[in-house]
Amino acid sequence: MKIAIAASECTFSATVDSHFGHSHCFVIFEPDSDTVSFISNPYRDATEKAGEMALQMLLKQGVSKIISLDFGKQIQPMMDQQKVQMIIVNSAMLQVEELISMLRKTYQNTYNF
Amino acid sequence: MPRHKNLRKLAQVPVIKGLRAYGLKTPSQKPAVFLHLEEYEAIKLCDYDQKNHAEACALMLVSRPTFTRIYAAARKKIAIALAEGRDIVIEGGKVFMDSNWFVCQSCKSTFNNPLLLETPADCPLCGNDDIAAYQPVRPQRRMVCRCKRCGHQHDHQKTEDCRYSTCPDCDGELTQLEETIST
Repeated sequence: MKIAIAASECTFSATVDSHFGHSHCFVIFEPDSDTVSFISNPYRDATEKAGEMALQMLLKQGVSKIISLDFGKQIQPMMDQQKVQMIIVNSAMLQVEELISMLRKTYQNTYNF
Repeated sequence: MPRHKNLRKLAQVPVIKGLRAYGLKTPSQKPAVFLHLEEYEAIKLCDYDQKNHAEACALMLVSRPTFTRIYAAARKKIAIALAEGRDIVIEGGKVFMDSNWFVCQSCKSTFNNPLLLETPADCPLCGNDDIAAYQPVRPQRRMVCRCKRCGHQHDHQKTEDCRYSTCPDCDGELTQLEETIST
């Protein structure tokens, strides 16, 4: 299982991006092997269907959960269709580092028993 | 290239996968009729739930003419199956299902449940098991009458016609506005 975070920059101190399709960077966290990788979003400046293309890219990576501050109206049915879980965080100030430490805690607890 | 079809919303998957014809005098060689999921939904909304086309098309998130076309296709297929003694298979079609949303009481994040049959036990982000069904907050609105000249405003009274009344402060013209109450 892989979890993607839509981030505003490719760093650990970056905040969650306010728009999934146009986010600068995707941070992919893999709880099983405890690895973090950064993928720059090539569709961030696309005028239309940025979310759809970004979703296809993430699906190829095997992502099953996506964290963002907001998902557009067009992308939500597509995510439902692809059975991708959308997680909308409450605060725009959350940093990638904090999110990853939260996820690490959650998923390592579940895998350890 | 033809224009792609918008996805139609399906409220629930049908309880059966299809229907089988029985009692044929000579076994039918004809293949089954494939009723699409959106056509099943159209029949269900219109004839089982007794909704009119305008209500039903809003539920399926398609336009009114599109809904009528889907409904007509569905009736045609069912009529073919009945008249020719063919099986009905409910499958295919351009549909999506609305997944239900939950909110975590601990980290206040909102998440959906892509596995429709299982209910999630804990939050995918913080792992807390204190979750509740998400209820969207609808902004409350009220009508106010505002003076164009001095900016005076008061709540609109339903019995009063603001076009013919004037501002109590400066006798200016009043306009009716809709205001969102922020909570």
